[in-house]
Amino acid sequence: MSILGFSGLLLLLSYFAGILGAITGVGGGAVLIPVLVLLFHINIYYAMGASLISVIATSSGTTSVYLRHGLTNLRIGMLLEVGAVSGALLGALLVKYIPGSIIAIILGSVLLISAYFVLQRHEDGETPAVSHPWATALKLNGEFPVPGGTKAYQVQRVPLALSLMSLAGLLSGLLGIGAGVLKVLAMDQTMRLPYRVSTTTSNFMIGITAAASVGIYFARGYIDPVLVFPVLLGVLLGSFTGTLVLARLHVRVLRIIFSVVICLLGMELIYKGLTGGL
Amino acid sequence: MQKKINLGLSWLLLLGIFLAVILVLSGAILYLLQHGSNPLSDQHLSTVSLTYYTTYSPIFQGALHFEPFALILLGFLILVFSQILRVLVLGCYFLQGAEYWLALSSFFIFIVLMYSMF
Repeated sequence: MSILGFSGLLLLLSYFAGILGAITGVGGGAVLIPVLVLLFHINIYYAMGASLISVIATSSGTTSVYLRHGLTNLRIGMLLEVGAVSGALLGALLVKYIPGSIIAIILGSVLLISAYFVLQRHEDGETPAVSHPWATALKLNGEFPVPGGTKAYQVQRVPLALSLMSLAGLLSGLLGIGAGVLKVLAMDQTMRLPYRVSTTTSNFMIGITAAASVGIYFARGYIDPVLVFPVLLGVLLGSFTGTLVLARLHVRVLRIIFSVVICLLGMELIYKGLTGGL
Repeated sequence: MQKKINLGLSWLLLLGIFLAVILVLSGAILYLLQHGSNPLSDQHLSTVSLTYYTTYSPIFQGALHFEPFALILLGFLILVFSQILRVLVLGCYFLQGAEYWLALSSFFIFIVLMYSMF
C-alpha cells in the first residue's frame, strides 16, 4: 500500500474514532490500537503513540466546544484529575511488579458489569438528592443546558469517586488503556452526574492524562509523524462532528452506545488477559 | 466569572488547534508531495527500527527549513502544550477566586505535566 493510500484510510478511521470519542468521553485508543496493529501491522509502540495523539486531539476539539455550551464541569475535572494523575504515576512505577493479565481480566469483567448499570440508570426519573458536603464546599454542584433552560444537579459521593479515580489512574497506568471509560463510569455511577456532563467532563480530563504520558513517548521516539498527521487531522474533524451528534442524540441512545463500547473494551481486555497479550 | 473562564479556555484550545492544523497540514502536504506514492516502509512493521525527533531544538530548526516531519511534530507539540497551558490558566483562576484546594490540584497537575515533557 502507498503512503498516500494508508494516510487516507487512517484519516477516515480517525474521523470515526473522533466522533465516537466525542459522544462517549472515551479516547480513541480502544479503536485505533487494535486496528493499527492488526490491520496495518504497525508496531505496538507507534500505535500506542498514535492513540495518545488521538486522545489529545479528541480532548482539544470537544472541550473547545463543550466549554461554550456550559456542559463541562471544570471543578470536578480538576479535582478528579489529581487522583487520575497520581494513580497513573504509581501505575507506571508498579508496572514491572504486577501481572497485567490478571488485572486485565478483572477490569474487563468490571466493565461488562458496569455496562448493565449504565443502561439501568434513568436520569429523568431520579429525584434530586442532597449533595455531598465536599461537593458543597468545593462548589462542585452545577447546572447544564436542557431544551428551554438549564437543569441543576447535585454531586454525590465525592471521596469514593476520588478513590475510584486514583484506582482508575493506577489501572490505566498499568494497562495503558481504559482511562476515559473509567472516568465516565466514576462520574455517572458514583457521583450521579447527568450523562452529558460526565462524558464532556471526561473529554476535558483525558487530554490532560494523555499529556502526562506523551512526553515519555516523544522522548523515546515513538511519536511517528507519518501517523501523527492523519490521526490528528481525522480525529479533530471527527470530534467537532461528534459534538454536533451529542447535542442531537437522546441520552438513552448515548447510554446504549457507551454500553456497547465498554462491553467491547471489556471483552478485548479479558481476551488479552486470557491469551497473555499484555 | 464561570462563563468568562469557559470562554477563555475554549479560545485557548481553539488557538492551539488552529496553529496545530496549519503546521500539521503544511507538513503533511509537503511530505505527501515528496513521498506519497512510495510504499509504506517496513520501518513501521513489527519492530521499532526507527526513531524520530526526540528533542525540541531540532524540531524548531527543521520547521524553519520547512522539513515535513519537523512541521508535523511542531504542530502536534503545540496541541499538547495548549492542553498543559489550560491547566496553568485554571490554577491561576482558582487562586484568584481563593479556591485554594482546586488551585493546589491544578498546580500539582501542571508540575507533573511539565516534568513529563522536559
